[in-house]
Amino acid sequence: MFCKYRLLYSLLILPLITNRSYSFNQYSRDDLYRYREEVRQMFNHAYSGYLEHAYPYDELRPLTCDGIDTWGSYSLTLIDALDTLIIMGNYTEFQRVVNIITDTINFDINMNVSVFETNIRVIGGLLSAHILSHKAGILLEPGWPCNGPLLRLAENVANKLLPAFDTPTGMPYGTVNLKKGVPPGETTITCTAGIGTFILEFGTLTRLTGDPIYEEIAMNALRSLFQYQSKIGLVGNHVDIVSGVWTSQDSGIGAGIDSYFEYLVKGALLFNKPELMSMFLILEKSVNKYLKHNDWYFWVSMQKGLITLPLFQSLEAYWPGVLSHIGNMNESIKSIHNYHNVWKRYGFTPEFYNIIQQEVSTNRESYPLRPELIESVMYLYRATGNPYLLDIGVDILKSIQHSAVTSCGYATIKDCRDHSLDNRMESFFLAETTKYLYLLFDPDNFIHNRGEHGKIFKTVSGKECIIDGGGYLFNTEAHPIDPGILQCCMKQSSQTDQKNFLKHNVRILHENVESFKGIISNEANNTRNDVNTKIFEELTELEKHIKTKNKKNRTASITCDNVKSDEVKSFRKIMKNDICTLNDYIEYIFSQRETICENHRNFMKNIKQKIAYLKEEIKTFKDYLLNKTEFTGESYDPQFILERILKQRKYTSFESFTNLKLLYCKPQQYIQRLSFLGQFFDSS
Amino acid sequence: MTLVGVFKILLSREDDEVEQTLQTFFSKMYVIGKVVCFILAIIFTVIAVITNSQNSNRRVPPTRPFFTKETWVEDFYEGELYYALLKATKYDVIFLMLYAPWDADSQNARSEFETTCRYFHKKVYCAAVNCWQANANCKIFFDNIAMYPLFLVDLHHIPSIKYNGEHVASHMIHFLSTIVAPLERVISMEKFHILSNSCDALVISFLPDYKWYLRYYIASLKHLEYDPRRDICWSVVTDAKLANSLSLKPFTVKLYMWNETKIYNDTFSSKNIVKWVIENSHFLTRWLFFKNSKNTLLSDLLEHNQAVILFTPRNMYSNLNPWYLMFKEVALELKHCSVDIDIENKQFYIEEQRRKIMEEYNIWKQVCKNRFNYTKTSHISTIFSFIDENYEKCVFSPTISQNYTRCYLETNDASRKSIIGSAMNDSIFDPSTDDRSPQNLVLLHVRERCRRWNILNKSYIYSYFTNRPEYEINSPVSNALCRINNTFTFFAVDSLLYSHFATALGINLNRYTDHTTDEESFVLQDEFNNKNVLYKFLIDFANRTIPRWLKSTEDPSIYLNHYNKSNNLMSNEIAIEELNTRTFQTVVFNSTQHVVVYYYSPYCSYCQVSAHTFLSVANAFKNFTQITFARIDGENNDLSWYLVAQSYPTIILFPAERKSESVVYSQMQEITVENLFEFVLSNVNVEIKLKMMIDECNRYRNIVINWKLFFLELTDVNKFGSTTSIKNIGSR
Repeated sequence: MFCKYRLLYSLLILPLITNRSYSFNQYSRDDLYRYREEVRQMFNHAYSGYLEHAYPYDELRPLTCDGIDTWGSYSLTLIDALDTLIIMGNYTEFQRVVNIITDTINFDINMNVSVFETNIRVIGGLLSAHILSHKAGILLEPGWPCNGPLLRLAENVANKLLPAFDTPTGMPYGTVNLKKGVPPGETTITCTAGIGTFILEFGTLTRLTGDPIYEEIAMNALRSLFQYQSKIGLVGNHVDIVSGVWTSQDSGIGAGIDSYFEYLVKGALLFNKPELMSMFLILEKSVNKYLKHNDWYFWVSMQKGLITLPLFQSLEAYWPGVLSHIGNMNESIKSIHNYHNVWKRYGFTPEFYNIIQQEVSTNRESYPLRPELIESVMYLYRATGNPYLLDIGVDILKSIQHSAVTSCGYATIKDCRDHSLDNRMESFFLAETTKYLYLLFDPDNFIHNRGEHGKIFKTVSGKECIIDGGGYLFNTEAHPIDPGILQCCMKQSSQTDQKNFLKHNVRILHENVESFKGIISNEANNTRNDVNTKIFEELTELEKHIKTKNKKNRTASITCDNVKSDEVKSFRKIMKNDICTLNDYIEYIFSQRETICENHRNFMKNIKQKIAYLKEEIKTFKDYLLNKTEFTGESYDPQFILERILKQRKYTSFESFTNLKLLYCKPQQYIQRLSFLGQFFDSS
Repeated sequence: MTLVGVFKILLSREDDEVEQTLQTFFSKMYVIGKVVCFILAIIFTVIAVITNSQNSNRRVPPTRPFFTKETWVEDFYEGELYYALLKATKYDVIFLMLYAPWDADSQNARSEFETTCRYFHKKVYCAAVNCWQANANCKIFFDNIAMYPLFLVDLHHIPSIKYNGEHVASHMIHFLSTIVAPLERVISMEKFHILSNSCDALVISFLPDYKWYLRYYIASLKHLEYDPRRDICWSVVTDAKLANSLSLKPFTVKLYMWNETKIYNDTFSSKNIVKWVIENSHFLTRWLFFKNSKNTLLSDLLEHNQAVILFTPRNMYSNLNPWYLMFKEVALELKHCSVDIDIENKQFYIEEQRRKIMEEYNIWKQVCKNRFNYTKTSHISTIFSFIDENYEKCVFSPTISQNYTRCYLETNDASRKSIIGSAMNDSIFDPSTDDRSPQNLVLLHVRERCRRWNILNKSYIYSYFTNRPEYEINSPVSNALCRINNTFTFFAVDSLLYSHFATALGINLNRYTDHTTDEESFVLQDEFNNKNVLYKFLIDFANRTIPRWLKSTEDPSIYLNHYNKSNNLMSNEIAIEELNTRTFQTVVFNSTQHVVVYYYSPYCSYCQVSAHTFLSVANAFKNFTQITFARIDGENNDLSWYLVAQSYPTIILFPAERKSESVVYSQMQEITVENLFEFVLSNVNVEIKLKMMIDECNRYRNIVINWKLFFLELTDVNKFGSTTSIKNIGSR
């Protein structure tokens, strides 16, 4: 503590550590590791319980020690817990399970599943297992990360979900049959989260497989949903996906809506999409205006903004985590305080807690080992290091260890008021709750890499990209996605970009030819090969050409640019498949710039005719699709949806949709760094 | 259920065959059988329901003992509060812990509670009650406990007192000791001066009537709920003469603070006195304690003031902290410039206290060396309050035999001296078995002090007395102090409990004695062992000659959430240098290097998600020794204002030789590898540009092809036929 103690320090640190009682809620690294090992044991207990008693069913029933199918029939817990194995460093088990999954699990079954749950749990789980498999020492397929058994499985499942998106609004049905598409007579009402929680998984699929359909469809659903927000900027709970009419008008941040907000933020960050961030900020403004009361978020009517239910749902605890992604620390920790108070009173957060009456809502007193609170705590702790957040983490760990543990797993708390148990262990306990707890107590986990280091990976196409470079984003089921890996499979940027790049460099060369001459001739003398001199020669030659060409082409190139109108672009996209010849023709025309300009009008005329024809054709096809009365269950071609989406593009966009600045964060005020424990600085 | 059916069939078949007489018998049997079957059926269903419910949803989990052994604490894990209270009747003081077995804080406080109870073994009755157990009377009685555990002290006939302090043994022991003796008895002017100067504030009263005394006594206890560490001292005068010389009228309460005195005139009830003390007390210096619940304590204290904060370990086993006293002295001198106070007197007593701490330390070191026989424990608890402070000066001379005690009384009170002296003389060679004989009381008290001293010695002596403060009188520096702006507020923070407060400012408490002032912070780097150091620090601060304290991540060990890469860098990995406040200047302003800096913030996910782009570009330039890529956590590293990023992430390129012409990556451009690559390339000198292009040609074959295409497009193919050479470069 004092300068002289630097010498004494090594001698006297011992009593301080052994006599820990004097530093009560201060943690050392060793404490964290101790808690981390406790979490690991917790996971192992539940995981081995599942393998022993419940596999191959979806979930373990921890009181009767047997298994049951809940969301599907594809060993859900196993798929969901896959990447937790990697995070905890159990690579051998991961390898074993990956083999089981790729060999045995079949998704081609005649079964109705929830589109939302299948997406976040199955596709998310498979994708992150695919992405992280390089960590486990698995023999990677040559095409990895753009190919691989797990990715193919994920793509396969995603394809089975696509028919749900074939609706007039672009918003998906809630249920789909894995074999036959949307079941006949399926309700057209879907919850908001069930519409807006696809972009992370689908966007990742698109980036890895190169097929644009997933991202387009997910974006289309998001854009469509955003159109239906109320006048005061709120979204309701359930909407009719055919008419766009809200059937449940309660607006909140919890059940039915939650992950929609989460995916707007995370999608914006992961895919550099200011459009999504802008949507979030617009909605957040209304949320703060109408929902927020004393750091709680109430339920209000979406049209008027009047309070309908003064409730806190344990699901809502994800919200501080979302705010922490955009640097809004003060607000998020304040809400965490409220939620933690509920936790401290009951030992768990009940599904619904009435804030006004300060009581658990009747019939909503259970706690199915939800991860939302610990998720937010983990994010906030990474960002702030506030020891209060560790206190919460320990509270959560100890409560679960004390009250939820059974002989073969961990059971849902049936009633928070007396800690009675229910015979269920949801798959998110192993996928999320244990994962976030583990990450909270493991500061050195590779997930926490902030971009300090990365692995250089060379894909088959020879492209170098950075994988495992940190900045992992979790989907709403805690399946991490590596943003770096998404770059590996993206096609080389379009030709125009590279042309611009080269053009730019040629301009530089052109401007600096004189200075280059010296450098290159020196280098040529110094090095054995004469490549440089050859380049030099070419450059001088080039220089001449540029000079002459520029003069000639100046007028032409300006008009030629006009040809690349949006119309042509969209036209080219529409005709992607069947008009290769025309495409070639266009390419040819493009290469003959002068001729383009001459034949411009004829060319445009042709295109317009062709478009009109195609429109007609698509319309008749669409009519056919809409009029089909029978539930055929035939193989489905999702390409039609994509084409329709690309054609429609009817959504109005805001100016801020392209404002990249929205993604950036403002620095914190100086005084904010003293905001720890319960200290807040508001006036700033 | 099948069993019942079969039985019925059997009965009906027999019915047809047997005679009338038997029929009646059988019909009777039938009735009985029916009843039996019905009962059986009910029993079966009940059993089925019970077994079923046991399997599918277990009701409330069974209770288990919370404390593993009950040597020091009695554990009522069934939640029977009344049994605990019943058992406690024979003790004067009851210390209750109301816990919930699932609660982490309760679990953590368990060992602290045990330590406390062990310390007060047989003097204080300790009981732990499970106040979570539904339907047990504790839960019914204390409905809606918002936070477990709850600590209560129960003294008979007095409303129980809640303990609101830290769940740490040393604090709890201090609290219980205060509960046992809440009032200091002032017997002399000197004692009064000592108390009024060493305490942050002093409440004093002269009460000749027992009933009034009781109210005052309860008030002093009740105040502990708000001030569990007893920073405001409560005292009582029993001598009318002394009261007179203090101008203390009977039945009044006076509150002495550093610059003023207030008199209480309202109705004499405990509640009102406590309220009045809380409302009227203000401090020159004070200890800060933080709660986990939402509050704006620091915000209120810091946002409009300059504050000097002392980080020092507060030892609850010893009453006074010499650094804190020294700190107080400086504060006093600074205030003296503007406020008219009797500084000399105050200073004298504070210095006196500091000196006494040192002396006492040595005395007790000697006394406690001779080990006492701890086997004898006493049931006396409240009796402590009658032992006067002067007894503490009684020293066992180590030269004489262990049992021989001799008391040096340094008090003016001749009568007391004689009483004690005679008592000692009477019983020196006659060890009495009476626990309450003066001799044994003295022994007991000394023993108590030694126990404390031993704990203190074991736990945190190292940070305490080896580096003792020097003292000096009338230093010349203090005159200069008055010329500076003296609107400081002074706070002390217990570094044992709140080291993360210092960590938040980037201070490693294991290295420095610190004083920080906000809004920007400045840290005293020298050793704080005399007042002059602090004077100089304050003057330098006022004159702006002291460099600003810059938070830095150079010592990541203090940040518990800091990420360390677990293993060494592999050949196929790339890492980017992390800068901090100290290294920033040397790395970035290296004139031969182009330096690209990635400013990020741990608060901003976008920085993390985009960081791989920066890694990619760094990787592309890895063969260029003239370009350095570096990262800096802008939130935790303070830089000069012109180097601070306005938003995160920010990418700034500092070109070689022209450092002032740094370029910021435009926020209007998407952070992609291509854009960033071009940004770097277009801002470095031509030599690198060309090299890079050649490098690019070698590395990306398809780019070469595009080159070719581009060449072809710009030039005439016939004239420019030497494209083969470019191809060669590509395949090389």
